[in-house]
Amino acid sequence: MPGVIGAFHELDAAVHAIEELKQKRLGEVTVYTPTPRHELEHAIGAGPSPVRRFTLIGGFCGATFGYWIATWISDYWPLVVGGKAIASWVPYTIFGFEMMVLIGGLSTVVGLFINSRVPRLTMTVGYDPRFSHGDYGVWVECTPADAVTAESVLRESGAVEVRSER
Amino acid sequence: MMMRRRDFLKAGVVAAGGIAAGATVRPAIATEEKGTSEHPATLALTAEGELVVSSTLGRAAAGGSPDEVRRGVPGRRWVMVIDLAACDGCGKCTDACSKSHFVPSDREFIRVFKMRDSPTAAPYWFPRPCFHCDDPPCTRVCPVGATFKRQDGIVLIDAERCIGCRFCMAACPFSARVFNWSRPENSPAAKARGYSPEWGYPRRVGTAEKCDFCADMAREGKLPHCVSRCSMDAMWFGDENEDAVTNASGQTVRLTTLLRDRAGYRFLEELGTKPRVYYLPPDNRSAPAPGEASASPRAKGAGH
Amino acid sequence: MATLARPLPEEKGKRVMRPNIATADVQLPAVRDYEQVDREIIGTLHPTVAWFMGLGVAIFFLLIGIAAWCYQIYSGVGVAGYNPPVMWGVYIITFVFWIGIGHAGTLISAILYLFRAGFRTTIYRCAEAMTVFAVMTAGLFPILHLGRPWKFFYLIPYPNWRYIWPQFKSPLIWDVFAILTYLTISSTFLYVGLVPDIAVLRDRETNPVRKRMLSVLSLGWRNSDREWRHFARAYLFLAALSTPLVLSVHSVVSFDFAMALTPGWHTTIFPPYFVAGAIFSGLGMVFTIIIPLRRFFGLKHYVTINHLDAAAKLALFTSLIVGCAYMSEWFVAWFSGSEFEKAFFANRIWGQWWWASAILYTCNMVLPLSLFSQRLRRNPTWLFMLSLTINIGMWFERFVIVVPSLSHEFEPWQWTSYRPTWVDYSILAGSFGWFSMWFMLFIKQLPVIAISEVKEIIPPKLRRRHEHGIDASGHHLEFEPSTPGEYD
Repeated sequence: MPGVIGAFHELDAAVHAIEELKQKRLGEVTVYTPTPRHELEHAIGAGPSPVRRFTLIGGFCGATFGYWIATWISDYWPLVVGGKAIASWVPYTIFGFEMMVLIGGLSTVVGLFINSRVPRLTMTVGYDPRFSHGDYGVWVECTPADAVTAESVLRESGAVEVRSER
Repeated sequence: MMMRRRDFLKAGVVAAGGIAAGATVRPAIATEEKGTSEHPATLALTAEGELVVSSTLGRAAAGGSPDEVRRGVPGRRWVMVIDLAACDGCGKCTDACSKSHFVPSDREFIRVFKMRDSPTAAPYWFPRPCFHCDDPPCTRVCPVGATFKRQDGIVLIDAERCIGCRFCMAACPFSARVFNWSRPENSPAAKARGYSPEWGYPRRVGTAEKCDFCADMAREGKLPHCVSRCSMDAMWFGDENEDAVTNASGQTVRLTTLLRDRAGYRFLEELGTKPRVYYLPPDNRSAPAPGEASASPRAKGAGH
Repeated sequence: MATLARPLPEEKGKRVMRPNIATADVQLPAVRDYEQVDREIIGTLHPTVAWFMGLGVAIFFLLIGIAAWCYQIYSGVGVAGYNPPVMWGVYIITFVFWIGIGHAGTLISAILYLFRAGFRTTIYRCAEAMTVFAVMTAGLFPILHLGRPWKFFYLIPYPNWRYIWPQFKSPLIWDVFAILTYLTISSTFLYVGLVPDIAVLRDRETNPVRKRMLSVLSLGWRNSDREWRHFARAYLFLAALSTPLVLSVHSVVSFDFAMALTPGWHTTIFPPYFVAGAIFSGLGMVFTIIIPLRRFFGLKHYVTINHLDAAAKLALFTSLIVGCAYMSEWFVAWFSGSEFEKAFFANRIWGQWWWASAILYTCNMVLPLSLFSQRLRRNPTWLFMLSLTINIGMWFERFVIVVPSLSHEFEPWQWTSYRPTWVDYSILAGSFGWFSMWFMLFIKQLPVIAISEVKEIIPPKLRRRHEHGIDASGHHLEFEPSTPGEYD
C-alpha cells in the first residue's frame, strides 16, 4: 500500500499533522508512538476497542465450562464423600470462577491479537525503529498523486523527515 | 484367585461405567441415600473382545470386585461398640489387628490409650480404631477420591489412587490414619494375597492407611480380628440395620437396647462427624482400671 | 488529589513535613525525555561479574534443593521432619509463603492499575515478574509434599482409561485450579505488558541473533495507534480479571485449612486474613528486591524515595489488617468458649510455640508500626531491613498456622512436637535458589522497569518550548526538579 510517512520529534507537531491530514481526507492515517498519548488518540478519533466482547464471551464460556466439567465428572465417576451431594454446586462455583478468569483472560489476549493484527511476521512499510525510541510517526495511505500534498502537509506541520513509500 | 494389576484396572474401568450408568438419580446426601437397590450388572469386555454382562466380574477369592469394594456389602450398616467398663487395656486387639494386617511395628491401627475425663474421675482404657464416620472429614478432602465411604458404612483407602498428600490425615480429628513414610517391607504372605482396599496390603510407599473394620471379614460374615480376639468381651460388632451386635464369645444383643441401657455415646460427637463406633461408659467396671492391675506395655499413657 | 512533590521551605530547627505522594502522580523530574529512558533502562541489561556470581549462588542453592528432593523421593517422604499428627510441615508452610509473595505483584500490577495509583508505574514490572516466579516456586511445593510425587497428575482432570478423576469437593483440587489459573493469567499479564518493551529492545538491538529472537518475542509490535488502543483495553480487562483472581487464590489456599475441623483452622476469618497477609508478605519481598536493584542498576531516579514511601504506606496498611486478625484470634479463643480452641491457643502463645508466636507478632505487627514515621518510610536502609524481618515473620506466620494446630489437636494423646530435618531446610533453600535463578535471568534479559509506561508519565517533547510539563489535557504541570527524595 503506497503512502507517505513523516517522523516528528514533537507531540504537538504530530497532532497537528494528523488533524491537517484528516481535513484533507487523503486516506487512512496511522500514527506510531513510543507510548500511548491521549492527544494522539483524540486526533485519530477511533471508536471503542472491540476487545471487550472477547472478554465477555470468553468469561461466559469459561464459567460455563468450569461448572460443567466439575458436574459432569462428578456424575461420570460418582465419588461418594460424606455429607455432600454428588454434584454440589456451591464448591463448584470455585471452578466456575477460576475458569471464567482463565478463559476470559486468554480470550482477551486473543482479542488483542486479532484486533491489532499481531503477531505479524514482517514489518510493514513506513515503520521505523525510532518510533519506539522517542519520535512520533504519522503514516497516511494515499495514491502517488496525493503524495505531494501529503508530504507538504507533513513538512509544514514540522516533520523532521518525510518519505514516500510504496 | 489372585487378581493381576491389569485385571484390576480393567475391572475398574468397567465398574466405573456401571456406576455411571446407574447414577441417574442424584440424591442430595450421597452417603445416606445412595441407594442399595442401585446395584447394576456390570458390562465386561472379555479377552476375546466380546461384551458380556456379569455381576461377579473379577471377584477375588475373598473380598469383592473393585465395584463391590467401592460399594460395600449391600444392605449392611456395620457398627462397633466398645465397652470401656470391660476393657482392661491388654492390647490383644492391637496385636491381632497388626498381625492380620501385617502392620509394621511403627504404627497401630487400633490404639489403646489411658484416659481420664477430669482430675477427680477414675482413669480408664480407651481403644481407638477408625470411627468410620458417617460424615467423614477425611473423604471430603481427598483430592483424588482415593478414600471413600461405602454403603455399608465403612471408610476405606485405595492405595493405588492415593498420592500421599496427607490431607485426610490432617483433616481427621481423631488421628486415626497412619502413613507409609518409607519403603515398606511387605512379607511374602502379604504379597501373595494381592492388593485390595478391603485389607490394605501389600503396602506402598507414600500412601495413607488405617483401620478398615476388616471389610473382607465382614463380607464373609465374620467378626473383625480385634473383636474376635478380645478376651474381655469388651468389643461388639454388628449390623445397624439388623440392630444386632456380637462379641467374641458369640453373644448377640440388640444394638439399640445395649446403647440405651448402658448410655452409649460417641467420641467427640460435638464435631459432627457421626462416628460409627459407640462407647459404653466405664462405670460398674468389670475389668480392672488402669493402675489396679498390671497394665499392658503396649498401652499408651495419656499425655505422653 | 494531584499532590505533587513540592517541598516546603526548610526552616532551621523545625521538622520538615514532606508532601503526600502516595495517591496520584509521582513525577520523575530527573528523567528528561524518551531517549533517556531507553538508554538508561536498556543499559541495565549488560551482564556483570556480580550478576554472574549471584546467578551462580542461586543455582548452587537450587542444586542443594534438587539433591535433597532426589534423596526424599528415593527414601520416602519420611525423611522430612513429619511427626504425626503433624502431617503438614515446612513444604506446606513454604507453599503458602511463596503463593503469598506472588500476591503483592498482582496487587501492584493489576489492583493499583485499576485504582490509578501512579506510584505503581516504575515498580510493577519487577513485582509482576516476582509474582510469576513466586507462583512457579509455590506450585512445586504441593508436589514436593506428596508421598508419591510421581502420581501428581492424578490431580488434573483429563480423560484417561483408568477413570481416575479428581474429587472436586476437595480443597486441594480447588487449589490446583486456582494456582494453574493464577500462573497462566499472571504470566500472560506479564508478557502482554512486556510486548511493547520487547519491541523497544528489538529496535535498539545491534546483535542480529538477539534481534531476531526479540523480533519473534515482540510479535511484530510496531507501536501503531491501533495496537495501543486495543492494548490499553486488553490490559485493563486483564487487570480487571486479575483483581478478583488474586483475592480468590489465597482465599482458596486458606480453605485448605479452614475446611478441616482442627482447632485454629476451622474459622471463617481465614480468607481475608490470608489475603491481607499475602499482600503484606509480598510487599516485603518487593522491598527486598527493589531496594538493592535500584541501587545496583542505578535506577534511583526511577524508583524514587517517593515510590518507596507510597509502597511503604501500603505495607503499613496491610500490616494493620494482619495485626487486627491476630488480635481477633485472641477474642475467638476466649469468646468461642471451645475448650479445644482455648487450649490450643494457650499452647501456641505461651506454651510450646511461644517463640514462633513472638517472632510473628514482632515482625508482622510491631516492627511495621515504625512505618507511621515518614522519616523511616523514606529511609531505604530501614525499609530493606524491615522487609527482611517481614519475610521472616510471614514465613513464621504460616508456621504458626500449620504446626501448632496440628501438634495440639483435641486429645492429649495427639499432642506432639515438630522439628524439620536437613531435607526440609535444603528444599527450603532450594526454593529460594529456584526463585532467585529465574529472577536473575529475568533482570538481565528483559527490562525491569516498564519502558513504555515510564514514557507515559514523563512530559513529551513539544514544538513550543514549555518550561514545565504538560498533561494529557494540555494543562501545565508545575513540578520542581529539586524535590527532596527524587534523587536520593
